[in-house]
Amino acid sequence: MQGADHGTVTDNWTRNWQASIAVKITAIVIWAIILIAFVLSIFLLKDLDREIQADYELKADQIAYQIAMLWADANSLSDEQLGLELRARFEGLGFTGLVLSAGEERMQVGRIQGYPDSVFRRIPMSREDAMPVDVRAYYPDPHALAREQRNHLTIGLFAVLLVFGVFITWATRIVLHRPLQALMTAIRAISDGDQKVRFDTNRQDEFGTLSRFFNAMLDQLMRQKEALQQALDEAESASRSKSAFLANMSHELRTPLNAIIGYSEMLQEDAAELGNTRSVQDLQRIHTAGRHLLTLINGILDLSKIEAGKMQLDVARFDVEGLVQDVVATLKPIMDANENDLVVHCAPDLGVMESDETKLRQTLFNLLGNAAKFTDQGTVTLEVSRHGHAGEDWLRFVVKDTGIGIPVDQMSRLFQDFSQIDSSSSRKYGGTGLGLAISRRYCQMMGGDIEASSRVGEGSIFVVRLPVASPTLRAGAVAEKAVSAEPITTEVPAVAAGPIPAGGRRILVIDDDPGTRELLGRYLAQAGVEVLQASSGEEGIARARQELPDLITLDVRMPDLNGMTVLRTLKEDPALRQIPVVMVSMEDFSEDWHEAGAAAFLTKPVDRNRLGELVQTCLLPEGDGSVLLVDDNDGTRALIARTLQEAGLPVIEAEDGIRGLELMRRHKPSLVLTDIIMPRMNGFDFLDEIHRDPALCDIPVVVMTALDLSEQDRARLSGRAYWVMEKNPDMRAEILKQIRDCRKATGVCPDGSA
Amino acid sequence: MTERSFRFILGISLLILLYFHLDIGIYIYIGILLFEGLTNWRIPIIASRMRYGSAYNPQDLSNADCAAIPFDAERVLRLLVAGFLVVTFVLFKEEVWFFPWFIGFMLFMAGMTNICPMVMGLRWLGFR
Repeated sequence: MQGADHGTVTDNWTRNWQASIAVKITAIVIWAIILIAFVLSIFLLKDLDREIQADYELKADQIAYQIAMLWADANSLSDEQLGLELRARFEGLGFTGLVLSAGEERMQVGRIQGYPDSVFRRIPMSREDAMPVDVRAYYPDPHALAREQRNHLTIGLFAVLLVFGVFITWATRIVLHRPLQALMTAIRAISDGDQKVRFDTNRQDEFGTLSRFFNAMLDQLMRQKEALQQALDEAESASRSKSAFLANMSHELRTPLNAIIGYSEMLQEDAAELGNTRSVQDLQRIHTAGRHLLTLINGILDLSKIEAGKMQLDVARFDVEGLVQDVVATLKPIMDANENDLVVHCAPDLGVMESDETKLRQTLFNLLGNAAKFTDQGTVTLEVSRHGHAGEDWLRFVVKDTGIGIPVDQMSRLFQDFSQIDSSSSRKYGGTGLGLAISRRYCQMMGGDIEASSRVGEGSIFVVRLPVASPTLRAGAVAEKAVSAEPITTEVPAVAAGPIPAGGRRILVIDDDPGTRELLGRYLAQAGVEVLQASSGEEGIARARQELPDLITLDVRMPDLNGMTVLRTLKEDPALRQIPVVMVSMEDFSEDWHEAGAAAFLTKPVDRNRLGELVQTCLLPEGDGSVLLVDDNDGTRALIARTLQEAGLPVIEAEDGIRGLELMRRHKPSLVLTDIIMPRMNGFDFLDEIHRDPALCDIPVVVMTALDLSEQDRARLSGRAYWVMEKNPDMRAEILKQIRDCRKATGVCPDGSA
Repeated sequence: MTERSFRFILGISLLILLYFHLDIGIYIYIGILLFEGLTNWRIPIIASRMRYGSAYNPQDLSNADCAAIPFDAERVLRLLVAGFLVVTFVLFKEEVWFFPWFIGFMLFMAGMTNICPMVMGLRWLGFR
């Protein structure tokens, strides 16, 4: 067989036996016939030369008799005529020559030279005076004759075998090969996807039986496939129903709770102002019960979401130590409530982690919260370390407490749903019994797990192990935060909580739920903001066009037009594009809302402080309130300017530091975004000049650069830049986030108001 | 040229030589087989290299690496055929006259079907 490159010629012996069935059968049959034929021929032809010799002996008698007859009439024949008569007789019998001798007379007919073999006969004469005639008949070598005959027989056998072999091959192809070929063709068609192919079942032989069984098997497979498809459709329908249920329940359960919690809070304040202490206590109980119920509902819905496989990880890269410090700061009041000491040990090499920061935060909140809850005047320790295992880096969070401990018989139920130490613990310690169950599921989703050990009276240890890089990354979406491992930040004053500082402004609240509208309206009205309301998306768009508010809060789930559609409509309208929009929803909003143009996102029930921060951040402050963009690259500048404008932020542009300084002194922007490598005045000098000018030094500056910063560069930027970020394709979202964080952190308007 | 086609040629040649009593031809035939068997300069390989150049690599040695006996089965075949012919055609021509014909038939069939029981048997014995 020729190789494709013509450099190899194969004759693999294994392929020798891999020939077509017809060839194999033909070969086997022919070999058998050859063997039998040769065995038979050995026995039948072994004495062929002797038989030939015996045959000549017999013929010699015949020739002798004929010669005797001729000799009787020899006197009437001439020698020539006698010779001709003799020749005719002996040549017909296969002799080559004759020698007749009678006394002195001798007569030779035919050829005798070269033929050593002869037969002798003496013919006696009837007359007494006549001499007997000696006849010697010569014949060819019997061995040669035998050989000749064997050759002819063998070639004849060869020809017969050849014809027979062709016939066997043809018959095998008809009987075996063609049906097999048809079977193979049908099977190939089925494997290629043509499931409707069926075999011809008209045959009554084994192929017909095989065909019928194949057809039955195919029918069975088709039925099973249809049943599986139906089951799949039903499962998908059930899954969709479950998702819809979760979404609806999430909305339906949280909406009234939002009203209960919000109104109870507001009524508390009103009652406190009126000095009605008893009502304050009653309302506090209502508020607490509402919060507890909300926590329970959130836990149940989260659990349901996880069980339904609908919970997704929102993977991003974040600083581990930053997260730990944040958690610790948040939990400090809870620790202080039971007079517990919180000790934190963070290893120096924690670095960054690629996982779901929110879920990890929630897990740590849960563990540390439990530790604080079940420990009285004790110590809660949090140890965080990084280690390698099986070629991967892992993080280990260990939460130890010196609390009441967990009985051994309760350990097995620790991570089960609604599991608490005993029935009285919920009354004494509160809680829903879902925290650990959810935390464990979160950890397992992130590729790790939680282990617990405890001794009654001595305390408990919970160990969370998580891989540094979560195995379940969302496809193509690992959001980059600041690239530098050591972020350069400046100290900025914390945001002031309290009344929303937005006097004289108008805010449009778009929400189909009257309770939410009322609640948000009251929150905002306390700040002296004029609140406009709209009960649907269409009404909201119409009122926004009519009233041109300074800020819009927009519910996501509405019956007619959903929030995202309204948001897109607002951003497509040139007159409304600049108005910042805060999305409000019951659910975790996973869609990239800020890419759609929203300025912020709030979850219900709305936290007043959080609402205040966002309004403070998003409302354009009195005066300029713009963002100065300093970059020598026209394309980059246009891109970032458009991003900021779509988010409702006015933008001033400058192509270098000198121009930037000019514009800063004239317009006093709220924030500066600057490149480093620029002509005339680079970013470093620009920052130095800003730092020297007392009128400009309080304006936060975010540095965007593609430069690989050295330690020296970082040192130079330290104390001058609020944040340094890398220029990359995803920087637009990062810019908006940093602007919001920066404005939230500063909380300062250019006019100095808090 | 593959071994299969060469076997076909060997078979046909032997049958023709036997039929026409070309004893000299058969002696030359035996000589060629002995030469191939002893030197491994097999005609199929030489012909293929003449056609395809030195890039030709005989792939019939598919189990070469795991062969127990590092000797080509094709060479053994040639030596055996030559030996059989010497014994049956030269030494005991009349007694076993049928055997050269049998060899011719089997070689012809091996070439026709690409199934050579002798080579398969030799490889089963462990030849390369």
